[in-house]
Amino acid sequence: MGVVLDARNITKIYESGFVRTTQVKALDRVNLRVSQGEIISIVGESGSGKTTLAKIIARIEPPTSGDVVFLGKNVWKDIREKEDIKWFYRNLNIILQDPYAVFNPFHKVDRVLEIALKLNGIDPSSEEGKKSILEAVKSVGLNPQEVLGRYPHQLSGGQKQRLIVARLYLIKPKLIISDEPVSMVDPSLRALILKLLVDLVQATDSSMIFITHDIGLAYHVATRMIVLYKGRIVEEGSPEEIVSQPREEYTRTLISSLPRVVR
Amino acid sequence: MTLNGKILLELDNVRAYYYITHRGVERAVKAVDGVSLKVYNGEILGIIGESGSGKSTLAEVMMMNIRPPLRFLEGKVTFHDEEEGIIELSTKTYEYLQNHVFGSRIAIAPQTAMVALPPAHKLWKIARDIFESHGIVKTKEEVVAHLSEIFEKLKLPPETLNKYFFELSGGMKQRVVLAMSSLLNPDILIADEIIAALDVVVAKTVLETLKQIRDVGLVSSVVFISHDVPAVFEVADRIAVMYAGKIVEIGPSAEIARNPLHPYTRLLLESLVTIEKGVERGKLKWVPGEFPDLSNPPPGCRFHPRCPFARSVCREVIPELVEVRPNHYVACLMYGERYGSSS
Repeated sequence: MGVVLDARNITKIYESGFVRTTQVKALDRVNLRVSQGEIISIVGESGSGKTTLAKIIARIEPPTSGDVVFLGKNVWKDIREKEDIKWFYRNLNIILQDPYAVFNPFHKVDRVLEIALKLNGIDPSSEEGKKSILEAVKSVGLNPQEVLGRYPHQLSGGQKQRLIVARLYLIKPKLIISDEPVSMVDPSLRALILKLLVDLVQATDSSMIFITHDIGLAYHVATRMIVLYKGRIVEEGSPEEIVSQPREEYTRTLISSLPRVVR
Repeated sequence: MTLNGKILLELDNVRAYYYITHRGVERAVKAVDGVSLKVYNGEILGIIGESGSGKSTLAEVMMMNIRPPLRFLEGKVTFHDEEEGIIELSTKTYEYLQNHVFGSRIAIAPQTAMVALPPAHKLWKIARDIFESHGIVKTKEEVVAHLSEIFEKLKLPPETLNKYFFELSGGMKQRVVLAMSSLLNPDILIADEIIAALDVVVAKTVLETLKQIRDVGLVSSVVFISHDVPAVFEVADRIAVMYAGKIVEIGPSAEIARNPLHPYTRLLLESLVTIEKGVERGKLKWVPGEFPDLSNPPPGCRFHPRCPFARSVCREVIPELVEVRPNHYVACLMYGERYGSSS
């Protein structure tokens, strides 16, 4: 399995204030390596630096020091030209907390899929384009006749979520970063979107960084789990290992804070 | 918790619909449709269900805070007061409710806690305004003394009193909103989705505060509404499961956790992504099908299009809540037949 992402010694310091500056170390020498097919879950509470790390990897915010190498290219040094940036975002895709934000309420949902196709240089009106849209919609368990040609408000939450994953089937990114993708989703549908994402990674030979505060979600989807606390990686291992035998006190807090249904 | 204890609030076959006019066509969204429910003295009643199942509307109906486009169609909402006896809230004017019910008998900690209090006032000033709006005039010292007593009981840091609302962290905001809503010692506190925006560690502290409010006697009973099912099971004594505007199951929470009866409750509990014992890693389940449109709900049992046990009769007959075990009611035809329809 090839290495998709190699982030080395990432440190991020935020400064605030004008006269008296205060420094906050959001990330402290974090190393992260993602191989093809892996789903790496980064767990931590608000303020632990999860999203900062994602932003640095996704070329949204520069690190104070450290290097991010994505598919052999240094994200913050080599990727500068328009063509390179295009290449970068074709291979790395982000799902944010509000997954419905990809839909424009004034456009039919097809547009989201058509744009995804164009990214890979396929004309959506061509035979090949039409066929791949149908295939993508089917691969997430939707009936194309029920969803295509409609506006976002005409679809249910579940259908929209499936379409978001269908879009990724068309883009075929090498790395997906999902930041709390189900925090706004109803519990009865959470499992569904998680399952779709796991299937997607397997079917397209992709990889994923799954960011969450809920160690329960991480346990079910991840192949490897990383616990982030105050900007440092405090624990790393397989989900079974971390959940059944957490070494760090902080990990134990995360596990014991989860509410449970005592059966 | 004593189930045979005193009833505080009773809803009897309540219907409240939203009326929305679009291009001259009026349609009714049946958000609360034939709900009967009792809130007992001293309990924490949890209400769970999917987004859009009518949970928050039920909260509005409980305190009769009916504002357009919501309309109260039929049913009775009664409050059982120690001194004044039974007060029928559903016949009172909005003015009466504002002066005698909201905040003083039934208070609500809303979904929008992050912006619930004015940012540019110190907390003790907000408390003074709340007292004043209910006709209670207090000096600064009195307000501060009262508020610090509450904060102490809820283990909130006392220096918070002199802070502005915007200075607080997310979890602290929620806990302060809970403290503020219990300022006038209401009998019932309705907490609507108070942990939706918080991470698990912070959410736990807010749940603790919610329990404390009842335990130290700041309020008699709590109604805790949330789609976070495990959180509700953690704190509630009794749980009502809502689906598409109706209550489909209600009973003691330990009993429902061990022995869920309604197919929806079963599927909902199975769909939880948790790390509990017996849950296999990577085995993800969800409730199949789509949530119905409440302006045109399915006939008969509203869950039948998604129910794995549905039969033809489920499409025709609307199931009533029947008591299957002591204090454990379920609205499903599977049980109605076997146990007779005595409710």
